Amino acid sequence: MRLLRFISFGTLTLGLTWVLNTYQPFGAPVPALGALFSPFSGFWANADAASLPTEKLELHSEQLQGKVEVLFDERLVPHIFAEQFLDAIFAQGYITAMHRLWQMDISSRAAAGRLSEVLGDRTLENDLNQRRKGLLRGAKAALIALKNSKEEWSIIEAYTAGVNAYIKTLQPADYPIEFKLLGYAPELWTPLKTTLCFKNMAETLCYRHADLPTTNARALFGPALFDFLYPAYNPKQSPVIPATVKWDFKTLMIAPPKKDLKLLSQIWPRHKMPMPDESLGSNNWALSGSKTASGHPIICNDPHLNLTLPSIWYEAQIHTPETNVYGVSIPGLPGIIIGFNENIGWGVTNVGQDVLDWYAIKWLNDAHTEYAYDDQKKKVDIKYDTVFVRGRKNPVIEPLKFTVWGPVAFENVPQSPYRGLAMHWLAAEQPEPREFYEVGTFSRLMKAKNHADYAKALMGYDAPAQNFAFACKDGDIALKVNGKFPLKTPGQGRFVQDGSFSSNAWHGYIPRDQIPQVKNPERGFVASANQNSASPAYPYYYNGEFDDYRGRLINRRLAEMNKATIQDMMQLQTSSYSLLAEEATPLLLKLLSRNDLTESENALVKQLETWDFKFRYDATTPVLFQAFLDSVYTFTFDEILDQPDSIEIQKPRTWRLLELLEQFPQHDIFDRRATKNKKENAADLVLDAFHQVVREWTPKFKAGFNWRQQNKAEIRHMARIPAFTRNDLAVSGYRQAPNASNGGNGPSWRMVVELGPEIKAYGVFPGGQSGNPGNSNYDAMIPKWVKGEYNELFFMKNAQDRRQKVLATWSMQK
Amino acid sequence: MKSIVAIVLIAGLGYLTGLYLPWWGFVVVALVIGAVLGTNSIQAFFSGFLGMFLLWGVVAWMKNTDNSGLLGGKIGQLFGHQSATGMVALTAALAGILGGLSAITGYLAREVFIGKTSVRNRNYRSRAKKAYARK
Repeated sequence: MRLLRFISFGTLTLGLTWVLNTYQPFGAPVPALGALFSPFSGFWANADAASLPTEKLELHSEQLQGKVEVLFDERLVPHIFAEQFLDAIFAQGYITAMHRLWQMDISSRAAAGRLSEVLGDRTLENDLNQRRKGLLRGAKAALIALKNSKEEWSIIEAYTAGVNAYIKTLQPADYPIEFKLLGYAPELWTPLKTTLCFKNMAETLCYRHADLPTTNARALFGPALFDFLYPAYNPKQSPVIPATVKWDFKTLMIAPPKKDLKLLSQIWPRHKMPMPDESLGSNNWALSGSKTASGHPIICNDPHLNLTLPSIWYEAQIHTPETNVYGVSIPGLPGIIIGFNENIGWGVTNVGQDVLDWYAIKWLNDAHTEYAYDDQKKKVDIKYDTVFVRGRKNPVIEPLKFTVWGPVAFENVPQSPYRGLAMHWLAAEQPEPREFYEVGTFSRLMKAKNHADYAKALMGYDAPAQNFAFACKDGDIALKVNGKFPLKTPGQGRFVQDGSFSSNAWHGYIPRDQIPQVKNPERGFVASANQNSASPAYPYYYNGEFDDYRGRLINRRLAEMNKATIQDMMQLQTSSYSLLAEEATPLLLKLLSRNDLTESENALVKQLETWDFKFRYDATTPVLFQAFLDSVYTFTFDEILDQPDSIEIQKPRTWRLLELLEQFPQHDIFDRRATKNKKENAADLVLDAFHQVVREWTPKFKAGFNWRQQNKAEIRHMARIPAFTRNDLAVSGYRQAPNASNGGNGPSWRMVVELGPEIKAYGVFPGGQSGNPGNSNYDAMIPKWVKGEYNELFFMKNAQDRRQKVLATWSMQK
Repeated sequence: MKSIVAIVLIAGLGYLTGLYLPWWGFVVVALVIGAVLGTNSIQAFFSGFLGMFLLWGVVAWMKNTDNSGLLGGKIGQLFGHQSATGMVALTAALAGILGGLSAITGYLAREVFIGKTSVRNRNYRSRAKKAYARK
């Protein structure tokens, strides 16, 4: 009896201990609860009592050459004062890891296709796709190239050493909360992880491609209607580089491609590698002193991205004998990505140019190991990628097939005469040997003193291509559409290409000195908002898919501005005024026949008529406008939207819809398929669309439904943990307005810098420096960001500067 | 008296193992204290329960207070929308239950392997003599 009791209680105790010590016991989706709840080492250990652990800290490391002082201001921005540049980078690595270690780990894992190692089966497909895209391979190739650049390699090594110096101090109790919830431990940082973080950025910014859906659209509509619905260039376009810039260089000649018309008349299936959201974008501009109230140049930048917590950006100041620079960095990458020093400021926006093309592969055998290439039989290169999966005994070994073009994404497309499909993506390529690469670009910008330094710095940069805006204290402003761009024949890469001819390859790259760029234009400003890089007169082919309402509005506003102040710049960055609304509203109302409307419907029309085209969070009219426009769009392009989900058809641009409504109101495209006996024109369709909006939305309007509820501005935690997410934010913004708030996307950093004798700098990002949800700093800046307010950036002149409060002083040395 | 000593020892040694050993260090502590100081199974359970309930509860409560309930509330959302205070209670209860079970197991182990009297009162020699006499 006693024995039985002992055995029962013993088993119970052991069993409970085992369950509480096991990650996902019996498959239940919970971490090891004993470890998680322990107030010594579990989540309670992440409940920070103060925003910084200590006011004084002395750190010693063999890697340091000289002395480093790190001062934290009240927003926890580290101000790094070092005698050596590399020591500053070491400190940056250490401090960034202290605040953002899990974010760094998960970003590099996501790019490498190593999420399943810690997250299990649910991310396996995603990991395999990342391997197919070639991010890991591309990062390894970039690493080999980087090793040849001594200067850059030393920067990456210093950063790695700094991160690892921090990781080595960690006990399990100190791990960021996400490691504890997901039940794994941080690994040491490596240079490869840094290059992976670059690839992560490349994936976010230049993995967009529309070859398959565009080919499908052409097949569906036929060439003539396709060209009509999808013109390549918006005549109202206001390009990044003003049309006044002349292209007086000798253009490289290229041969026209070989076409297989069969390829253009077929429907391709939806590809399974999801793309980044289309509404990512950014604004930047620089005003010359002739346009500002102070007479000093101003530089502004607000990159729009998928907003996350921990935040994408990490603020830092780096002060060394050769430079004093402030800005935002990306955890995982050494240096400052967007910022300013005592002489210059720079900012970036994404370039829409297409750097990913699809090639149809003609298989020559049933095993899909040989394909046609000119007159040869070519063998695919099979590489076995190993993916470790948590919860599985054996790793998944996936054979990936590679052609001369790149990885095979579809092996067997049933409808295709060729059956295979491979992709060629610039960001997965090995860079050619040269003096320096992306890390060198940013380290040079950090130290740049004038336009010549800026121009030199940009030469090392490949991808993701960015519009680098620049302003200098000496009065120069400039913008270069910077990156590596494939040299293409007109139209090349818009549709799926025939992969059985070598002549369909890219024809090299656009020479760096022929890339669109401008310095000190007459209009007194440079600006970009992801629109086309140059006017159609630019001799090389451009294919990008961004609507340009932001770009046109910003160019218009800046052209009107004189004696611009910092305040004006902030107002423009946070403006919710939309040019799309300004153009579409009167047009839709003009087409809408008032005689056929009821009294309550006319009240809604009145609302639109008196609207100021601002997307205020507490207003109803923006919801009405968006519903109306969506409804007109859906009715007009019902031919596309009726297609099955398994195929994707490229959608015509909104500007083209407006142009059609205005110029071709009798066109067949406005005939609705749902109404068989009636032939609609634009006016009929707009009326139907309006009726539908009234039917669908009136109850919601009566309940006070506003733009905040429609836009659903939110900032999600990177692991989608709801408790760490901030949602239902009262943001006044719209994806086609300068303040491009759109659900989970929006301005990830806003910066305004006036480059006078005394630098005046302001900035804000939606989050905090600390990545710890248990720290009050984690989302501390969100309220300011939501309201469109800025922090005055504390650009310290020296380590004794106390114009703002300093919370803590840490020192590091040998 | 013995119960109070047991509770204090479990909490105190549990604190030390918490600082330096994996989270389950206290399970061993409760087991040993239960074996050494347990007088009956109910007393053993309660000394293990109270010792660990108080230890984890107080430490969690202090950290939660210093943190103004920020993280406790967030993690609480993952566990059926508990409040931060609820998470402190859950933390205490988890350690209490496991501590109690472990202490009772320790007590029962002594009963099975050594005998009903507590270790301190045990007279090894007399027991050995009795055993000899029985032969």
